[in-house]
Amino acid sequence: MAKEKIIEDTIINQDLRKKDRIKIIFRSNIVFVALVVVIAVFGFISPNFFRFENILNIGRQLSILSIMAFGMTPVIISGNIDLSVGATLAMASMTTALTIQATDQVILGVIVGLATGAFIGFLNGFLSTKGGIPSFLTTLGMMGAVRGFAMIITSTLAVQVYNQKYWSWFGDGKIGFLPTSIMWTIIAFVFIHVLLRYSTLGRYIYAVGGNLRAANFTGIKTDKVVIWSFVICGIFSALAGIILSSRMHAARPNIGEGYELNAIAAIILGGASLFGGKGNVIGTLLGALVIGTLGNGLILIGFDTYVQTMVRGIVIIAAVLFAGREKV
Amino acid sequence: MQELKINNDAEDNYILEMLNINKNFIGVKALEDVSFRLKKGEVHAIVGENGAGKSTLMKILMGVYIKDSGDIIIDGKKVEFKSAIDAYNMGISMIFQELSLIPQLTVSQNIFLRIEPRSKLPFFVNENSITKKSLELMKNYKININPDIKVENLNRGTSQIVEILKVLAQKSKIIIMDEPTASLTREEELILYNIIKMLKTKGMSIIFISHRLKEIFEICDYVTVLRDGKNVTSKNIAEINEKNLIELMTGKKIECLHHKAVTTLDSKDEKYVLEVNKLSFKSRLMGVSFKVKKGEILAVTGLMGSGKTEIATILFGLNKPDTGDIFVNGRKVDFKNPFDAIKEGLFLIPEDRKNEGLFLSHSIEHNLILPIIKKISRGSFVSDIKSKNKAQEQVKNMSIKTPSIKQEVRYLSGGNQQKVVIGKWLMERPTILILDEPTVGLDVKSKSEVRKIICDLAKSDCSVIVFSSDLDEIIEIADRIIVLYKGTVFKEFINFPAVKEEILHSAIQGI
Repeated sequence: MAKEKIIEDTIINQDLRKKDRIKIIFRSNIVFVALVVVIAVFGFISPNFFRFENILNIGRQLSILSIMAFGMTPVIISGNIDLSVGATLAMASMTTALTIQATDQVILGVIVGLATGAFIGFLNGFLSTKGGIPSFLTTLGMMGAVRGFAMIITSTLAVQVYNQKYWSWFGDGKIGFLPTSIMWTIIAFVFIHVLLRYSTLGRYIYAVGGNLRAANFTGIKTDKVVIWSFVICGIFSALAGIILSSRMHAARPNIGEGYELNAIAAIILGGASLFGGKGNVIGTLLGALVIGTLGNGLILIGFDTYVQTMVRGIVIIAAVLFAGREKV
Repeated sequence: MQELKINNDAEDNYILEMLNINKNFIGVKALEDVSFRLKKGEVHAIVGENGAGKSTLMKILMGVYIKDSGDIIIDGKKVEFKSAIDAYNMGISMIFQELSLIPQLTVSQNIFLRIEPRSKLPFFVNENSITKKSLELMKNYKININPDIKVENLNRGTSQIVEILKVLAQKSKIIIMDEPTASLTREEELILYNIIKMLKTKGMSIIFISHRLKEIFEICDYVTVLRDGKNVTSKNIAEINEKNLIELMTGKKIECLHHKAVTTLDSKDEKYVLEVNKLSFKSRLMGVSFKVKKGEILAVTGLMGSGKTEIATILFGLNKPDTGDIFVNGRKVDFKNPFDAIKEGLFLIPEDRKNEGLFLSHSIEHNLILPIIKKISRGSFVSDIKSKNKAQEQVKNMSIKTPSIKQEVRYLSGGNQQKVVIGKWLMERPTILILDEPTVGLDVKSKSEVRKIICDLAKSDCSVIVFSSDLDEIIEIADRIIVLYKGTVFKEFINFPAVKEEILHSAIQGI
């Protein structure tokens, strides 16, 4: 605590010495350091790691996690959390698949799917603000309710979709050499980045998360801001669900279980604060890359998924520990 | 008191000596050869502007920082503090400005936190004895607070008293008080002064840090002035006056602290910008009415609980009045939230700048720009260049001291933070600006800067309402003064020529 205070005192008066400045830069970019370390280690151990095919493979595998994490970044910055994204993913993939199965209209199906996500997001936001329930509890409940509902619709059966357009637009297709799922990831990234960095809503999201009372005193309609960030989160979870079910040629009510934790981990690794007010989508991207390359690399050198899960947990704790606790 | 002084001069029995203390923070000299001596039974003020080294010196004494060189001698014995526990064990304790109480615990539980009397069973606290001991303690100092009430239900002033009781329960020899009266009403201040006097007679020594010079003259025996991390002087309080003291602190000759706005209280100009008509709210406001003219500074004062805060929150749309009307520029308004109030050009600068005014972890630019963000945006997108320029301009206008507009606000000093809060609302011209305790906790120089900003604003025809319990401040800047007492307007004064402080004082007490 004393150390932080010293840094604080010094910044008031003058520039930091070089050594300390490097320390601060290192701490605030810990996720980047982690990524470089992970890539270096696996690149060294496994010759296949740097192959173009493998890199595209990582990108494809990562697209679902990344899109969900991008979408949830505004929610986390606003000082909230969304545990229902995995369930939303499943629910949206079901409504999309059912619509396409019934009408053979891909665009209509996608719209229905995204609307499903938006609606769940709206409910989350509405209950967390107007209802006065902490978002952790709202979305914990929503996670169960939505997942259960998705199971009930088809009595847990998968919904097969035979539609070439649906497959190629999202899960399987390519534009040139670029898989469509990576393209969607890029679109999601740009959208959230622009939202947070350049839009008024973005500034309000930071303000609400930074200090809810002060935001209210500034005349910001804080409830509206929080609801919007949940709606955005729901829409992107739905997009992730559409991509996943398109890749599997079927929607299943049990997909995406536990994904919310990976998404949250990516965001926190990326430097966002669970208390809100801090973070950005570039960090989230790097965080997702760390988690993704770690998984891929461990498989390449022959470890099973349990080792992956364990290593991922350790890396998250280590990264947050290195980044140092933030005193606000 | 006279007797005590002679006593002290006769024998140099210092309870604490800090000699030639040096402390560097990564290249910055925070303290340079600073010495400080404290006698038994003495109330010793340490004054200086923000950044003079007061808090660094105290943190060294508290064992929070470790000195680079110099000696600390307590009761004639040299000591080395390695941590706060060491200092605590030597009988040094501090009353925190930012309260260190736990809201969910009761008064007595807080007082005896960490030093709870144990019951016969292991691990259990003897609750009865805590209550009894608290009552005893309070009786000793003639304080009357229900020991079983939870601290979260107390107002800030009473909490501060509990904070003091907590230190008293620890049987310390040296008590450091950092701005102890900052959140107290006059009544509570007097209670505190009484406690201090009783502590003195019991032989306890008190280090008193305050920006309020008046109270230093009221209760301190000795004063040490620090400036830029160095000793300026240490003097018996009788040998110095307020003007001298300010000059010593700032190192400059002070021309005049007063910026009294010369607004004409022209009776012909009867245009009221704000009219408040028979406002009632729960049992806390009972039919309060007042009017504010264009370019006028109206000060509203009163004891804690007199209804000041309620009026501010109602005017800003945070609370809805039970009955009563508010008119802005002759039009009846009904604010549902701050957004509505802001739309009418009515801005509030809240008292609690850290919790209600600022986004501490965000940059100065983002803090300043927030209220006008829609105006510097095209569609939904913020213009970076406009945002930067506007913020830059305001930093200059408000003379906020910072290396860059990208600086996080939490690294600024209190005075500069307050300028950011005010600057944020002056990005647009307010019709009516409400300030709640605008200079609380600021040093002399920042106080006078903030007051000047307020007066300049009024000169440019903005109407200002200042809610304040600082009578000096009110007399210095207000055109008109309203004194609230138990939820009603008790008295109203035209502050020209200046109202006498004593008169204001008795009005506040309802006399």
